[in-house]
Amino acid sequence: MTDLLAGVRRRLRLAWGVATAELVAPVAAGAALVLVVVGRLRPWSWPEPAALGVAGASVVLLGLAAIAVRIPMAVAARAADRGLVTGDAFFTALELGGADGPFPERVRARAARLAVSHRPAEAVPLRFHGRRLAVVGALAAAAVALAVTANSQDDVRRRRAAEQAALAEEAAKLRDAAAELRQTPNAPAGQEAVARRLEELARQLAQAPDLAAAHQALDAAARDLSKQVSSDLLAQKAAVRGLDRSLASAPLPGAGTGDAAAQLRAEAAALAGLTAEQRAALADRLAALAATQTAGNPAAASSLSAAAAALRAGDNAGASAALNAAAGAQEGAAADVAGQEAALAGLGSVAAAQSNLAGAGQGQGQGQGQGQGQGQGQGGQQGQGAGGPSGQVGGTNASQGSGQGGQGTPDGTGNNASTGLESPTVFDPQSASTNGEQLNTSGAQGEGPTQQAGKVDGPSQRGTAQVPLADVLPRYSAEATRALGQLNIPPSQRALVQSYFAALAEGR
Amino acid sequence: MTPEEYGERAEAIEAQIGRVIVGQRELVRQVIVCLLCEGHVLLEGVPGLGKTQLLKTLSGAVDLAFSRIQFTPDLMPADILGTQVLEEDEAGHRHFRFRAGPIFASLVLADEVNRATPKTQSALLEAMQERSVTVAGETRPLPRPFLVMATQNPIEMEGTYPLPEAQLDRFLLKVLVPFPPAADLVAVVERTTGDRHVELEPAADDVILSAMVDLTRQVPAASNVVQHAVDLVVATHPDRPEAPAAVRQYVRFGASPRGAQALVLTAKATALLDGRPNASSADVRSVAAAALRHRLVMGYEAVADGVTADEVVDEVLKAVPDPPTGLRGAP
Repeated sequence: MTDLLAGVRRRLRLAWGVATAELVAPVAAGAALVLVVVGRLRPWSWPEPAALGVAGASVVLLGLAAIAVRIPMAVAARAADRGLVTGDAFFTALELGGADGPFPERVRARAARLAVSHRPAEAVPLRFHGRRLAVVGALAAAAVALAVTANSQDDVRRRRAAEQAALAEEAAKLRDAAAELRQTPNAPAGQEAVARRLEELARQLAQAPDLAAAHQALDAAARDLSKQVSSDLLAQKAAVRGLDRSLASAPLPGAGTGDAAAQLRAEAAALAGLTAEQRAALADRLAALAATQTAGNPAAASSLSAAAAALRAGDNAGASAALNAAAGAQEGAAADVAGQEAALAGLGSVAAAQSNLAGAGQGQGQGQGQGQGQGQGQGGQQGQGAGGPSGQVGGTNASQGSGQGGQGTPDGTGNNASTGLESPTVFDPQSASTNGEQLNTSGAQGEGPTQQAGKVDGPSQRGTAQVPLADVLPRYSAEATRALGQLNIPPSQRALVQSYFAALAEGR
Repeated sequence: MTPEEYGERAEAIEAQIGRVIVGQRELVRQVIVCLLCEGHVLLEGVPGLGKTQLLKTLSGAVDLAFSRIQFTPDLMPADILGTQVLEEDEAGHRHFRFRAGPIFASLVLADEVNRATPKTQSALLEAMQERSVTVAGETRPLPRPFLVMATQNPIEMEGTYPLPEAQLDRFLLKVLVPFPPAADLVAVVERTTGDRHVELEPAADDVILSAMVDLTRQVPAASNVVQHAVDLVVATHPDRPEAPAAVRQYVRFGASPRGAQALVLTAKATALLDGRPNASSADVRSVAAAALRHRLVMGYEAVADGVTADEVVDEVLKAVPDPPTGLRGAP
């Protein structure tokens, strides 16, 4: 009897599963159908996976529930009695247990005889309700048919998936940029703030529901970072690094070979040991250095001038104090410049992300440019750029252009998504293909010697020669600053170049 | 006594009755069930269907003291129970001596019991329930087994006194005597119009029958069987939520706890008679009509609508099916 009842329990589990499935299946199939229909009406990506999830979860939960459902032996005995019409033989035998007496023995014996002559399947036949099954089949078939047939929302979903992928990629790039900023040894506080802002932006991009939200986040980040960049950055940078280079190439007398701040401090300490001639020469040198710092580092210029004046007046103590103040001003300006450069780099990363995301989901643009900096684009970034080479003092070629993005179309193919946005573009030799015309520019203005500063390769084939100005401006500015530092250029000319890039950074 | 001997004896009694009574197997079976449960039985049927003959035949099939009381309006309680009579012995002393009435028998046939007055009918109450009689302040036990077999006629109601509910409740079963089918009727006519006289051979005596009664009570009834009997009785009460609409509409008072006892006890006897060692829910349901019909107090709506107690019991059986296992998908 025990074997039969164990088999009946297993069979009851199956019967319970079948009966419950008949109740649950119409609901699950109906829900799946509704989800599939929603997926055909709306461009959401979740309805069809959710429909599949509902079906799968129903099956899994049903299976787990069938395994977990509690079926006591008494229930199995009752079911066997009812299914086999035994007159409560099994249940009575189970209740009597090992009781003695004429009747318990006979009840057990009768139950054992009945158990031998029957199978669990006879006791618990599976019952199927045709109408319910038909309803479930119809609903499931409709859901599957709607799911596998072409859907007008599929293109939209694909485009959104591409957008999400692009957002994830840009977020990763921003994180990399932030990590790179942190890798700088002895990074100033401003650099850490920029890294944090980039990471926050990466997080916002990763969580952005669509491109519009991503662009909003990017714009906000660009605004934040722009505020950290002074319009006088180039002048400040030129002043700070120029002082360093000047003192590196011609150290102050008795001040060693450290950077500018170190030399100024060393010189302040060594003033007492200088001869009168040396002090006079030093005064002249400090005055000349002060003149170079006027535009970019007025505090240092003032201190250096004060030091020169004190030296001339024979006030060693005053000169020493002024030199220490000049050293402090130089250090502060250097830290400030480093922070601004970090912000500028971050701004470049943001601009790159903006550019990449503006192109996400649209066709590749066609560009054609000439070495003179005149470019014309078609397709995704339709616009015209015109500009002349500004091979000024540094000899760096730069072209300035302006363009307007084309009107976007709903299918998003081959058109610029940045509808209505003014997007200045500029020729970027690194983005263009090679084999172009070599253009040499030479210093045409100023009093310095003419020197070949570099060359650019104009595009000679289809490509993305025209790139957003914001993408390349930090690189161009850095290159210009580097060139200014390398050349012996008068401060006035340096200031001119610096003001030019500052104007570009401010969008003027 | 073993269950097998029980079955053999019961078959022998049934066979003896079958020598006289043609057909009516269900009727005979239910009367034997009452005998084996030591429960009183009320037979109801129109005149001429053999009610009295069946009970007389039963008394012949078993070797038990039998008495018959013809109930009439002028029958007095003392005519049933007995009375004190004043006697004078040889010494001239006078004393009262109890003269036992016909109730002091194992099988008492109360023929047309509804023709006696309520006062006389009530004389049976103590005997039927307590199986003892109290006369003149002295309680005297009745022999074992003790069985009152009453008959009543559902028609000719003039000059009759319907049995009070308290007394009806004391009958284990109320069995309706149906009109026999034509084939049985032919046999009845042939047997009763010839000169053949049947001599019955008692198949059991009081000792054997007492053992059978004891064995009947030993039959196991599983908890679900007892619960089902209780559920059926509960459903006959119109104020209970389990009661079907017919009960709420037509029944004034439902069956008493004796109804549940009757269901289980007769289910046990039925199982044994069928050769099964345990009572089942099906046994309970098979005797439900006979055990409950006389225990329902029907309302005037039932009389007005011509609804019988049997129809109400059918509704109760539909409303209270054999309890399922409670597991979805199980039989």
